Amino acid sequence: MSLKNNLLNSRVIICCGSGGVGKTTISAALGLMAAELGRKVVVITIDPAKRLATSLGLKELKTTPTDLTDQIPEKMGTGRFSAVMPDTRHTFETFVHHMAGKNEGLAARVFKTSIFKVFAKEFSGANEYMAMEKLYELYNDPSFDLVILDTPPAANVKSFLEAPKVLSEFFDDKIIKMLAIPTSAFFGSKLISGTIRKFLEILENLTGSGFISDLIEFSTSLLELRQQFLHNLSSIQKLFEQKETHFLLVTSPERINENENFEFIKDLKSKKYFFWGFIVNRVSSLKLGFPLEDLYQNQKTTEDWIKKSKEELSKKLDPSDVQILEKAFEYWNLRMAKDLKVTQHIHQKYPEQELFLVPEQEEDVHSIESLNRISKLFHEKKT
Amino acid sequence: MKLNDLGNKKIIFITGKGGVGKTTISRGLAHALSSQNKKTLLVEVLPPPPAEQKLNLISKNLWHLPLHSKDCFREYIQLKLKLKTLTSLFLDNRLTQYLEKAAPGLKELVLIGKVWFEKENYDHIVVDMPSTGYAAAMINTPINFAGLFPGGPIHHDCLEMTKTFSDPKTTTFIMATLLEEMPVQETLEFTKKMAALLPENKPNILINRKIIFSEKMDLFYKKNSQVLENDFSANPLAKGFVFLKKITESQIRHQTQLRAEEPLNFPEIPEFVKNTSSELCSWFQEQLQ
Repeated sequence: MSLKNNLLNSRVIICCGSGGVGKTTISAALGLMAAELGRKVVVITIDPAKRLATSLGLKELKTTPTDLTDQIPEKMGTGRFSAVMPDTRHTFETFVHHMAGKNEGLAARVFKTSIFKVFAKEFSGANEYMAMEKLYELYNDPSFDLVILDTPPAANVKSFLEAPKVLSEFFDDKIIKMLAIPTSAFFGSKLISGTIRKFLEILENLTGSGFISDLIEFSTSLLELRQQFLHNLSSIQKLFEQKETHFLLVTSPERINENENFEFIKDLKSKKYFFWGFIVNRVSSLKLGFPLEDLYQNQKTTEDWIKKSKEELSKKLDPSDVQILEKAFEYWNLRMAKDLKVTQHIHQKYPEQELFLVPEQEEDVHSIESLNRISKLFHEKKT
Repeated sequence: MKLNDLGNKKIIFITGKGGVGKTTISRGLAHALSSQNKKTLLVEVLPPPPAEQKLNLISKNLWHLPLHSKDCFREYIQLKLKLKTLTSLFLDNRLTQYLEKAAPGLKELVLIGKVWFEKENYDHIVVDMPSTGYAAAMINTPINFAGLFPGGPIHHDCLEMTKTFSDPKTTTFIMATLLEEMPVQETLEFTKKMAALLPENKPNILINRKIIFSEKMDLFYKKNSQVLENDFSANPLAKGFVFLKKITESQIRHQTQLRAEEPLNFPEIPEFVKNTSSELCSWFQEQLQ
């Protein structure tokens, strides 16, 4: 499926990839292109470093989507482009409020516990879950017909897929039920065995008096939220399994970790999620005019080009000057070797998958105009 | 603080945006410190966890420990409970196993706690941290847990940990960055965040991969920029040269922007063509002298 068809035929696009590959930029550029194709797009990023904001030339985004359609230089037709950068802390509060429903007292009780105060901080599992929750919310919002998610930064591309499992463990009902017995029962009841009593004593010794009652309070509240949480989680999982949900992997020649990618794709396939392919960002060969696609597909090298290029220069420049240029080119030679290695690897290992290359950009991408330039590159590719 | 002051620091945390070279820098620095006859530990606090937490001797004086939160947790509990019967009763309990797996922040706490405990055993500990957002959250965990647990040994250790991390004589935070828009933004955000967390111990910015555009190159560019851009606009060598010059200019702009907001005390790590840890190690060796 071509890039254009992917954008036309999906309801959700999830951009995965490790930190520093330009995932945020790519997500936003894909969003722009989809909007130009007439889609009503919203791009979500849950990112402690607030990078999408930078990409869009905005200092701050709100928790509700900001419509940026008017800021796009191109005519959009019926397409719309919005972006949202939910603040984790705020989203978690919204989530608790949402799940607590009319039971305002419950939400207030959760917020009051010291454990909540820790949980609401920026931990990876929580960030990933918040991203999914936001994704699901906007998927159900009739103002949008395509949601693009820039997954939270993580050292490992797999952490996004693993987050639901980690969080389900947190909501393990057997354990929570055990904790949710009223405090008095813990210490007073004969139902509590000697072992558990001893265990609680140790826990109290380690954590100071007061923590256990906090834990019990928090667990009781969780038990009430659990049903809704598990329901949401299974809806999210179902959404991921749909054919209209597309996963793609953003990577760069400097950052690619072949094993990690391999594991990630295996994981996607075992979950029966739809993986459409790779976007390799910051490819210097393309910027310098080398036909990388031809090179990696036909196992060619850049040597001939460089030789010819030198000959051409020698007609007008002194040998010592050509030498300066050649020396400076060592930097690119090395980067181009990486370009070739990465694309060849993907081409050989995943021949059936889409591979899209984005050239290294001359300027940093942090405005709608520069995003638009990348988005145009997506258009230009013949598919 | 100068770069050669690192020779007097016990714990050196290295963080930065994804892709700025944290791991290569950590390895290069750890090698350089150990080559000065100092017992050095290199710790990687990055998921995915290793299969086994095992201390390896990499070279003379240089130890490497891939951290596994599960092992760190067990080790800590053993240390605190002392009695074997109590330890196994506590660790084998289902609730402990649940908390260990699911309690938010606990994993981060035991990992950073392990680093702190190891400080007695080495001259230097070089900690390869996750990227900025996660690293800041991790450094914040002892502060959080000290508040979460009203008393007891964990509360006490958390306060001590924060004390160590706040002390610039013992601990240094290095924020590695590239001279590009996004890493520079993140560096400035992180420095502010850290200043709020540990006001006495501000992170030090370390610029990585600065392109060296020599005077000879610059002179040639000035003389021939017209020719290069007009006559050879499709020539890869000429194009590469002009592009390199543009990147250099953009790097200088970003460095100026950084300097306007934060002090830049460390020299820049030059772009090494191969950018291996051994090249970085020699660079650090020179700087540490």
